[in-house]
Amino acid sequence: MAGKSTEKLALVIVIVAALMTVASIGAARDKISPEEWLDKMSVAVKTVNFEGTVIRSQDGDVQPLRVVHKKIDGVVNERIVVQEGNGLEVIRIGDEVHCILPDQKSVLVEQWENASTLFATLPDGTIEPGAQYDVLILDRDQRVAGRSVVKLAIRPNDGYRFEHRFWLDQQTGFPLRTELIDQNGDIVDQLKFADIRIDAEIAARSLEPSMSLVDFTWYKSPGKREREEIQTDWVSDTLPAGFKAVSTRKQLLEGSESAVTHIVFGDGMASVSVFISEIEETGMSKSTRRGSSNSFSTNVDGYRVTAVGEVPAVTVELIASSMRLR
Amino acid sequence: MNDTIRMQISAFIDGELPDNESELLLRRLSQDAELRRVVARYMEIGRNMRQEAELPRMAQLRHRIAEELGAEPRTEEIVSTRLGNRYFKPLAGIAVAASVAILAIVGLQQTNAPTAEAEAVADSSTYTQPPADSRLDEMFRLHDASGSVGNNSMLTEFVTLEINEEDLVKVEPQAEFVVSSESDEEEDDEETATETDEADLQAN
Repeated sequence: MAGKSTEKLALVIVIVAALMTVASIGAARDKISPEEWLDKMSVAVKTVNFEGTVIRSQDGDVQPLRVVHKKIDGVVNERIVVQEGNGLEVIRIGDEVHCILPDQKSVLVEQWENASTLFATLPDGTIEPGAQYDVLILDRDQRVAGRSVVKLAIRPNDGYRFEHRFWLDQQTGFPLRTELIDQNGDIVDQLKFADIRIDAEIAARSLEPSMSLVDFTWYKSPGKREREEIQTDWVSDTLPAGFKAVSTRKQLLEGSESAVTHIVFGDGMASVSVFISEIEETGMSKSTRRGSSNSFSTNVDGYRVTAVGEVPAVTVELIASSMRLR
Repeated sequence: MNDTIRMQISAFIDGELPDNESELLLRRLSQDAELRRVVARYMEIGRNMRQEAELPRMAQLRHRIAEELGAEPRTEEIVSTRLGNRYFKPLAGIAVAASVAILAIVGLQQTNAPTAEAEAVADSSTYTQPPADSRLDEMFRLHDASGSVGNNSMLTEFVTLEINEEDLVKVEPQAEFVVSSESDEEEDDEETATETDEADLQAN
């Protein structure tokens, strides 16, 4: 009897210890600040290997994609397959990308220079919480794709930018769901994983085309884009707080002989492009909206100035109208 | 394939083949897919050996083959009509750049794809369907490509493809991609063949 009692006691101790460990892990997770979660996310999107199904919704369009992502010797290897429609596949090895169009029996070869295929906009590490945006934890007990997540918001403190929401995997910090919210509280863009395997074994074959390409025709666009930075005398005299110029280039618009000056302003999360050209067109000021992007064109000192960005209409109007020649 | 052809290819790649022989070789290349694959493989090998991102001759070869094939339609298989605004699916803050690229490609083939666009004269609250504005399209495109905070250039690349449709050139598949989708057995054979070709090339 005494032996059984001892066993029971030992079992109870083990269970209590296990519960305490679980609780302390949970408590430790609860202590992670929103900013630390953002840092964790930044690392995760660069390091996590995964295979899963992504659903993207925008303007009522829903697009399911199968995505396999694996870093091999520091090089991003990816395969993305459209799950509906024409069966398009995108194979990426580092910067080289092959887009396979099965119904056209064609392959388009392209060079892409950025590291992230899936996430086009993530915080760039220069956000100062409490300045233009607040970073908040909204919920710690949700699940996405069968995994526990913490829900974060990057919420603007003024009407010049949109709100971003992230559902981050509790274990890795990888974003399993993202939303872009406009100033009316409407979701204008959403992406979420329906299922995902993180850091699981990924077979080499799952990164290869699913079909033989032997009789496919291969195409390449020889076009090159201008990447050189230039100096400009154009400045903005009233940028919304937190925005600053991050790049300036001369670029040719298609169908136009003369180059435009292209200045990008960013606040660490949102970015706005300003294009300045000598007037080839006359006309009044004009605003345009496409999904979550807005543009505003106006005339300044004999030049046509257009601002474009994933920001509220008021922001592109303010920035375009604020441009001045020094 | 006989040694003469191998030597010709090798000389052509090195820029040492006389013009008249180059023309003959190009004509033959235009009619012989297998030969084109061999050339592409040679060039790939050379590129790997030299650790070069791109062999200068590769571009020239692409160009000349494209010229040689000039009689047949070059891009109609992919792009039959210009679609203007339909490429420009809005890119929001958290965009799946990949799917944007995919939408762009789907757009290449769906001429009746709906556009999600509205335009208004400034200070007006009423949106109306706008006329096509290619300059503005181009600006949206360049903005999407310019992202300072990690924006991906996928959309841009595909729209560039559309814009340059008349300049599109046919290129040769890279052997490893073609081979990888075949059976393992064939894969082994191809690898052996590649090694043999490499040995021949070095011997030459």
